[in-house]
Amino acid sequence: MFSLAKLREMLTWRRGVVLTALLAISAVAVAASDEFASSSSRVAKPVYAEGKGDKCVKEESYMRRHHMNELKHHRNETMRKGIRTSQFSLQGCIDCHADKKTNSVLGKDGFCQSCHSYAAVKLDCFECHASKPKASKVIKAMPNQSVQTGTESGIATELQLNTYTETVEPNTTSGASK
Amino acid sequence: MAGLAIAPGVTLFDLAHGRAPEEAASSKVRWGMLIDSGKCATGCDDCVAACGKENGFTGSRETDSQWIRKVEIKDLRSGQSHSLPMMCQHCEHPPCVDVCPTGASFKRADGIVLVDRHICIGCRYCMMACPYKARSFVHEELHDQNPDVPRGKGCVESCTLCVHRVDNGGQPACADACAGAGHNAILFGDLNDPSSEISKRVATLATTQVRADLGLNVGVRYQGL
Repeated sequence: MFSLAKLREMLTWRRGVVLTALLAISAVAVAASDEFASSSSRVAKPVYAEGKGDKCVKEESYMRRHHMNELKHHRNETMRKGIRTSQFSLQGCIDCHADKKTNSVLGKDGFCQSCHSYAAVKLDCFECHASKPKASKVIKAMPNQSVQTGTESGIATELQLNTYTETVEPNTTSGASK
Repeated sequence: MAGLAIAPGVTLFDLAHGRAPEEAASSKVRWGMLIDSGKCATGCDDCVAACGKENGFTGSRETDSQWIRKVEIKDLRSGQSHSLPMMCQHCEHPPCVDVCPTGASFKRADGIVLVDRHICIGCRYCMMACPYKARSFVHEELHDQNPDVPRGKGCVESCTLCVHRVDNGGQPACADACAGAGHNAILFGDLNDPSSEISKRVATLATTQVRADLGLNVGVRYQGL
């Protein structure tokens, strides 16, 4: 015959076992769901399309981490001082990384947007800046200007003898990109 | 165009124009324009159209920006009339810069007055301060901007003296268009360089600053007013 005390003791022991078992099962379940999420993610992976150039202006690992700082620094230099070097110019990024199909860095597979969507970082550059490369990469040079104008030095020298109006004319966006 | 021909098809321009990309704009240069109202044709708006084409607005929408406009003025007594373009006068002491609460409105070392849209909050105080009504507010979202001319909703903007062209050794689109149409009413150049065409003309001809009484020492001058 069991005493009342012994019965109570047994029940608490059983409860303990049940609780432990439940905990173990839920832990396994959580681990399994983690594994599930990483294998078939709900968020689309960013697209690292090949750029048009041979290599980036700096190592890719550096650019992934610091491109925003470099762009911000460059924008202030260009805006305030008129320094228009090509290394960290946003236009340079777009020229190289624009999607071959859409000709843009935006869109689902766009170089900028796909990664920013993945990282959930708002991308507001393109509310003002064009997301497409220049329609025609013509360097505007005054006649006889011997200074390189930033991008392709070869073309700059070639253009030296052209008349000014000829080199400037085709360089508008709205008309050309439509 | 301001320049000296040294061989057929080769023209020598003032050195200030050939600035290297890594070189900052210098205060040794003061960009300016001289507009000859005698040559500016009544009814012609080639400069306005060229500005819109270059910078990405057509004037077709009511809310479109206006960086340059044609003004017709008439002396009622004599009947004498003038036609002239009016735009940001690129003041030496710009009121828009004085009032800007964020520092977005600024004057570059070479005298070009600009808006840094990255920090413009769109308060439009500068629009009220400008005696020339030169500034516009962008009311609607924009698309397909010129890669050289970033513009967007919520910012104030005005004539940039086509700074992207000037930095590459060119001249503003309006001056190009005016010369292209054969009027040659707009002369662009460096006011600080005594050998430039604009300086020579400013030194020898009677030129006017609009609202000279304000003492702003504008960069855009008018001839024949």
